[in-house]
Amino acid sequence: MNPSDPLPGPGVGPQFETFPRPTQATQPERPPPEPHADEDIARAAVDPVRLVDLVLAAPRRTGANVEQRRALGGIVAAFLLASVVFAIPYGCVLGWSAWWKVVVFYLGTTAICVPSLWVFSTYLGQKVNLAQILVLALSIPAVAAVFSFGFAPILGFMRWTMDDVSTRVSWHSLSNVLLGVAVAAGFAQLWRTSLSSKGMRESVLFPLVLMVWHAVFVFVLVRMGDVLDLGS
Amino acid sequence: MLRAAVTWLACSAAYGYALGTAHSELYAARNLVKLPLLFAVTGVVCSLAYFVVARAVGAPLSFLAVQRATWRLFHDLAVLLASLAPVVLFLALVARHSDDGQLGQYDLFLALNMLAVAVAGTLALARQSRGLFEEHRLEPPRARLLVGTWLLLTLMVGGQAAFWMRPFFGFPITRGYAAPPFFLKTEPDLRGASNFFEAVLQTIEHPALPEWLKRADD
Repeated sequence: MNPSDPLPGPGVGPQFETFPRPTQATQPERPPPEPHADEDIARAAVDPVRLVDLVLAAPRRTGANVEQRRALGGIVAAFLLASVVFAIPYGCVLGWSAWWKVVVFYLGTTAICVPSLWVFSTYLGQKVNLAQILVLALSIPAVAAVFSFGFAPILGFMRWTMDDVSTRVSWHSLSNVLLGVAVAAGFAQLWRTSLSSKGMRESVLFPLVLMVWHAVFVFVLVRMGDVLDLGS
Repeated sequence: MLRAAVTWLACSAAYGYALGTAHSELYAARNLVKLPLLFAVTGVVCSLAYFVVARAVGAPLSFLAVQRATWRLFHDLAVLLASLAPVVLFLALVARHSDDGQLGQYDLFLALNMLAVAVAGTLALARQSRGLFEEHRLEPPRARLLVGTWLLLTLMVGGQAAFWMRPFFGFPITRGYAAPPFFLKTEPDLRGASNFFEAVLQTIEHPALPEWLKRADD
């Protein structure tokens, strides 16, 4: 497809082919990864280690699912499950009554921002359906939740060993840094997943949409943190 | 496994003893327990994060394999530090017998030991990352990213644990006073820091010492 060609109509051409970059010098490409099978995703729902692997360890395979539109419902459900289950321990460290806050922090922000990603992508010619967008967007809260799960003992230790009245660096500020790192890991995973999809990799506009969307996401995330009183 | 554990325990205790000698026998004896405890607490607190980071960079390591790899990192660190224990012991004894009984060479001794831990940690890290990409066929950049992130987590947790478990070697002026608590916990240090991160900020900003100690230093 030539950049000067008109946009294809719905259902025409490859699923992500739009605004392609000019052809570059060919490099030897890795063999395309296998998408996750339904059975793998079902097993991940009942096995925490497999769920961690589904969320973290195979972004190229998830990208293949997105590209081929296979088992997207299962992945969305698994990512939602991970976003909830793995975020709760960190919330408990913040305070027993705050067990839900990190879940809302990640998932609430994503829920607020998903419509804009879907609408803008579609409006700018990216032929993606809602399930594909959900898989991509939910990789942020899912990965962030798994990282938070790993950070929970660290925050617990910091909280236990640091003075609450400390004015310069408190455990709350460290918690904010850890939450930020977790979200940054989620962003990185979203990029790894989307760039492993050929259609999105070759699109010029989708990365731009993603970058602007990240700015919106971060803004909403910070405000969400204020609303949930996570900073103090 | 048992042999490695005994080696780790003995080596970290030996380095701890040498450190504490700069102040007194009491501090040295306490450090026989405190240094191994410091390493163990740091490893346990970080263990889950080590695993999550390993999976995130695509390392095909099970939870146990990750714990084994980080355990080897601490083991190597302890052995390397123990090899420096005679040097530290010598410097500590010289400093102790020649200080002014006030601030002494506390800052210099602290800086030298920080340097020793940094050098030993970096070497242990380099060896572990090489082992990781040989044993698990992990690509070198990923292995470095993985072990570097582990180091960062270890520094963060280990630094705070060390601050909480103070004193490992105190100011000479505190020598001869009633025995301090085993751990000073969140009690502010002489410059007012109540946790590791504030102490790092103070190292950068270098605020003035309290007047009574400054006069003694002059």
